[in-house]
Amino acid sequence: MAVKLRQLMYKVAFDYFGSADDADDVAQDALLKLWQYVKDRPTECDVNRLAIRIAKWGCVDFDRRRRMPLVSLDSHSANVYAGTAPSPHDELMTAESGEMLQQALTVLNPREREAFELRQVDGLTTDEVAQQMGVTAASVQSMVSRARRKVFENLQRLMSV
Amino acid sequence: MNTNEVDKLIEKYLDGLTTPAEERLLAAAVCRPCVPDRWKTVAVMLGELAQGEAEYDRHVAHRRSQRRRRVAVWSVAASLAVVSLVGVIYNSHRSHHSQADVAIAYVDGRKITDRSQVLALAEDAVCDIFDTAADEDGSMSGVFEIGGE
Repeated sequence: MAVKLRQLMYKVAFDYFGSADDADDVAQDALLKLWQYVKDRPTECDVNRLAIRIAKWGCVDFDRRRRMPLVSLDSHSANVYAGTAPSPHDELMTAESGEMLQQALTVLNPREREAFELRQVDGLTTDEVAQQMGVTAASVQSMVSRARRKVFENLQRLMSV
Repeated sequence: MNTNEVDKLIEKYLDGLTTPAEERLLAAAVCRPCVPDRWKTVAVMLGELAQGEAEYDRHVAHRRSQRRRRVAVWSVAASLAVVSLVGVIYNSHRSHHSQADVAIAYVDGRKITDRSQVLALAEDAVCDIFDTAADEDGSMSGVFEIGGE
C-alpha cells in the first residue's frame, strides 16, 4: 500500500515540477507527513485522497523552501539563514496557527469534530461525509456549519489575545 | 475575486455550503498578506492543506497553459515550413517543365535557341522535304501522299 501511495504522490509532484528528482524528493517527504496525519486521526479516512492533498501541499512547501534567497553569512542582517529552510518567522507562524486551530477544535463535540475533519482535512464532499457517518447530507451540512462557526469564534478570540 | 465576493464566500463556508473546489478558491483569496483579520481566521481554519492545494492548482494550470502556447507556436512554425517546402518543390517542378518549351537548333554548327527562329527553320526544313518529294517523280508521294493521289 505504501508503494502505491508513493506512486500516487510521485505523479502529483511530477505534474507540478516536471522533474523526476524533485518529484521523488517530494513524494518521500509527503509520505512521511501522510503517516503523521493518519496516525493522529481517530476515525478512518480516505487515504488516497488525503495522500493527494498532502502531496500537493508538499510540492508548494518544497518549492517555497527552494526559492528562499541565499544570504551571505557575513551579512549583519538579523535574519541570516541558509537557503534550504523556511525562515524561523514563517515556521513559527505555521506552528502557531496549527496549535491555535487544534485548541479551537476542543470546543467541538466528537461528531462535530469528525464532520469538520472529514470535510477540512480529508477534503470529502458533504455527500461523502454523510455516507461515511451514516447520516443525511442535510445533517452533515448542519453539523459542519455549527462546527465551523464555533471554531471561527474561538479562533478569533485566540488570535486577538 | 473582489472583497465582496470573498466575504460572501466566507459566509457560505461558515454555513457549511461550500464545495471543496470553492474552499480552494477561498484559500487562494484569504491566504495572502495584508488581508482583514476575519480573513486570516478563515485562512487558519482552512488549514495548510487547502492553502497548498490552491497554490498547487494555480501553478499547474499556469504550466499547462505555457505548454499549450509552446505547442501552438511549434505547430504554426511546422505549418509554415511545410507550406514553404511545397512552394519550393512546386517552383522547382514548374521550372523543370518550362525547359521543355525551350527550342534548340543547330545550323552549320551554330546553336540557335530563339524559339521563333527555330520553328521557322523547322518549317522550312519540312517544306524542303515536300518540295523534294514533289520533284522526285512522285517517288516519295507514297510516303507523304503528296498530290492527293
